[in-house]
Amino acid sequence: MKCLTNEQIQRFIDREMPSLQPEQFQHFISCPSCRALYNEQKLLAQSIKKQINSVAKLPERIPEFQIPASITHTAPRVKRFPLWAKMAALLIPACFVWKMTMKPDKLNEKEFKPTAESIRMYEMCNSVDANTAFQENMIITTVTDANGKVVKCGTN
Amino acid sequence: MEQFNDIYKQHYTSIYRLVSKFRLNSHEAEDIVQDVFVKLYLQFNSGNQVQYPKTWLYKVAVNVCINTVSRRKETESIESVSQLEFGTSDSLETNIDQNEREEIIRSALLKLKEHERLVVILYSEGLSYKEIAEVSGIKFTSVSQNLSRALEKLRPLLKKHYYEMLNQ
Ligand SMILES: [Zn+2]
Repeated sequence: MKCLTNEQIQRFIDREMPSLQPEQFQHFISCPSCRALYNEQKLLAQSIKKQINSVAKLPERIPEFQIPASITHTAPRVKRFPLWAKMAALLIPACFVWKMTMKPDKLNEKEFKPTAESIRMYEMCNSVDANTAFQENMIITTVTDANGKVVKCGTN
Repeated sequence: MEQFNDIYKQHYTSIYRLVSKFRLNSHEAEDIVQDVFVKLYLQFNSGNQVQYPKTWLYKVAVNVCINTVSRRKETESIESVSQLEFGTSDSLETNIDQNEREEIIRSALLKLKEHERLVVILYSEGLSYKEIAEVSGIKFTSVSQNLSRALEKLRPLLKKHYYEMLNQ
């Protein structure tokens, strides 16, 4: 089996997944050069970590957090319009739009002027219930002579 | 905002240490750390949830540092960059050796590709590969490759100090 790569060794050093496969681990145990590389690379990694950390600086103290000026300045600007003003700003245009859209309907209602004839037709249609059986609707039959006198009268 | 104050106290030092590893002077570092926490404050202020504050802070800090360094590269010469060192250490003890050593390490890091440098800096912070991937935006599977390459490149550049360490 081939020797382990630097990358595989590095993952093994850091105990990071995916770590060594069983056969790789078997090779690692039996191969002196891989074990030497492991030890050497582990020291290298530690040394470089340490060297990079040696250039790092620590703060002398943790300063008090300053709330950004952009937040403290914008806050009063938001409060400049009170709630009633915002409500009015919404309601006035809303009412105006509502009035504009409702007007044509009211004009149409005023123009509705049915004739006497159409009213009579409407009442006649409503007086006969189309849903009741024909027999239940009483029909009165009258026969008159030439002078208008009733000669014969009968129901159904 | 109590939660924010806890995070601030808990992570201020580690973010400061991370930022100082980039080529910045102490004033720049302080401003960047402040800027990073302002960004977090704005997140909290707008009601956004920050699930992992540590990785979030590292991520933002790294981006601000990279932007600051690259912006400076465009506008200023290399000479002026070398003057931008932390002035606190030599005021305490005039240790030329320490400054020289720092310069060697910083210039060795500069010889790496940007993502390799970033991985090795985050590695020195003790972050796991998963955290390194999240902070740097590099694929999790590529972290070990970038890290071993960076260490290999740094080996000859930092060899002298490496053997010094071995003898200690
Ligand atoms: Zn081997």
